[in-house]
Amino acid sequence: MTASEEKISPQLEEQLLEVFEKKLNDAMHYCIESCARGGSCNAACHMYNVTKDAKHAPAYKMELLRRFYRYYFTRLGKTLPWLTNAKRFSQDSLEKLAEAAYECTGCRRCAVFCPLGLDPSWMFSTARHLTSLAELAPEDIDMVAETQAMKGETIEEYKGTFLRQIARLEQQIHENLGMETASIKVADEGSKADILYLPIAGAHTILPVAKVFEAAGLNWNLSKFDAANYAYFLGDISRAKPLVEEIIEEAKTIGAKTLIVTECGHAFRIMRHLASFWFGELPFKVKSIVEVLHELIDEGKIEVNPDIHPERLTYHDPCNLGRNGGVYEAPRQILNHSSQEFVELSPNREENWCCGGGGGLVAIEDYDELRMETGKKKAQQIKDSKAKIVVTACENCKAQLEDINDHYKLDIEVKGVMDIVADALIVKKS
Amino acid sequence: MGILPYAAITFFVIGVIYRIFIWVRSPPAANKFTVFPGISSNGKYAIDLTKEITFFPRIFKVDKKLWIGAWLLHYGLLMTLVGHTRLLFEWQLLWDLLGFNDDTRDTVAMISGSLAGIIVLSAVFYLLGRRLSGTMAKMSNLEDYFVLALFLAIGLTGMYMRLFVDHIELQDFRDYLFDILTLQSPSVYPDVGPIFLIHLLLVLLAVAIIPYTKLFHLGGVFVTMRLSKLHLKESKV
Repeated sequence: MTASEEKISPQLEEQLLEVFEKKLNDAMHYCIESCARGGSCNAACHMYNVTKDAKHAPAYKMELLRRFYRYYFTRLGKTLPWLTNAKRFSQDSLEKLAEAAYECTGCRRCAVFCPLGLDPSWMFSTARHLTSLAELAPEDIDMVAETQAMKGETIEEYKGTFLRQIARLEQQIHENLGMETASIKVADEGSKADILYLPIAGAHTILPVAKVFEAAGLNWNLSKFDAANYAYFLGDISRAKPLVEEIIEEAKTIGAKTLIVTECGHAFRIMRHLASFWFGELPFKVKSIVEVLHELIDEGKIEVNPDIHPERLTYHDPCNLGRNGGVYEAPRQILNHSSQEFVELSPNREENWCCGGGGGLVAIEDYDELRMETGKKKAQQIKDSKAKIVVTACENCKAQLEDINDHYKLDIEVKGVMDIVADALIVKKS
Repeated sequence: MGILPYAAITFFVIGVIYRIFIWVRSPPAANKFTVFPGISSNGKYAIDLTKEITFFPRIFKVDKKLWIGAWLLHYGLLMTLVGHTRLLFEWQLLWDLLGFNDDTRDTVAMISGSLAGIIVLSAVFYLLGRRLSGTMAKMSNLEDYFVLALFLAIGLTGMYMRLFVDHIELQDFRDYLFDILTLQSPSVYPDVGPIFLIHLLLVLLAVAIIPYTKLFHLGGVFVTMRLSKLHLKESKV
């Protein structure tokens, strides 16, 4: 027996099986038993389109997992594994699965084009969870997930630093924007506010929003937590849930009626669509900052000047806002109001090509080369649009688009929808 | 030949019940995750589903060659299925309406039947060739090839009879199938030789394995499409 076919420990095998069985919901069964393996999904995948490597083909990825299913859950597979190509967990086969599972942005474009309406992402999320149990997940994500979980448990220790940083931001708003009355209140035991705003580490997700909210006169608090949830990228719901629960508790404490999630794709998906399934109906609404900005413009609470952006500008639909979130029109309305020339990418909306950085890939150094290679589709799309500014509403996409810009020398500017609104905002001096 | 059709149908029914049991018993996907924009009414969904299963627009958008292969295979099979109903009864009303006499009818049947056979066979050849190379070969298993080989064998034996068997006594088939369908032991067995027997056995095999193989997407699509598409309750905003 070669080293690569090394058996895994019985304990691990048992652990994997337990998780596998738990993950077998109806959506998984459909993928396992109804898939005709025609390969429409392969043709739909940006990654496979560029590399033409089997490990990037959604149908192949699914088949890798299905082989384990046949071995452990079907009688024929167990008795005659060679007949149905059934496979027992081994170091080698799990490594293959890990490669397939993590070299995927989870954008679900494959699900849009499956003629049977199957959703391969269920299979991929299971594959990620299984391989992370076997300690085959990329170390970067696993480490950040651990750190994040620890930070959540010891939030009090970080509070001092955080508050000092926020005080500096307030200063900036006062001095640079001339909004002397603007303030950023961090959610705390005693505070009450209609809105809890959930940022991502970094001033760039707080400043533009603080400016716009001040102009609109909203009563809001800033969350102490970070929107990003790295455990979610590992398909590990048990580690992803506590982070979400903390945010829900914080929103309840300040009596928020609305939780507004910053421009972060997976955080929006989690808070808007998953949180209520995990914890039951939430006592507040969950909105993307993009939806809120659109409402503010629509209701006349803020005014924007389209002349600020005379150059051609386009919008990239992040998978978690579009296909996974259903937010298609709000950003388009905003851009039409705040710029002179807004053009669509082709294809767009649910058929939009993935930026190539989703699924946590931008956070993993080992995938830098792959990200740039498979960003080719996106780069071409942007070139064809002849836009000078590419606007999007996801931290992940922004980082990837910036990198694509450098790599393919697109000579564009990447901006968030909130940046566009903040720049075009007409500040009324009182 | 008397008992086999029953065996195949029993196998089929048990399989379908088993598959439904597995699917119903499995926990519902915790988050009914629509691929947005979902469809929010049952009526619109019905129209959309009809479109999907009639034209395969999703395949058309991403892979034109695959679309041609898939569409020809499915519609070729449907055509042959419709043609084979003449083994059960005569479409007399239709022929009368079209003003066909017996000779015209036979010629039309001959041409359309042969055409359907050629369509199915060329689609199967294309799909088989496609599966034998590159990524498709890596992700395929015995089942994928078996199903295609089965269609190939059914098509070839069918075409053989169409081209090389001079005369078919339709009445014998009708009596035989009538007896089978009314649960009587057949009073007559159609005599078309061993090729017919092979053809029939393969068809029965194909029917029997539907619920145990990927062929189940034939019925499965009505369930699987629902999950990602139908979004009855708008998530609260």
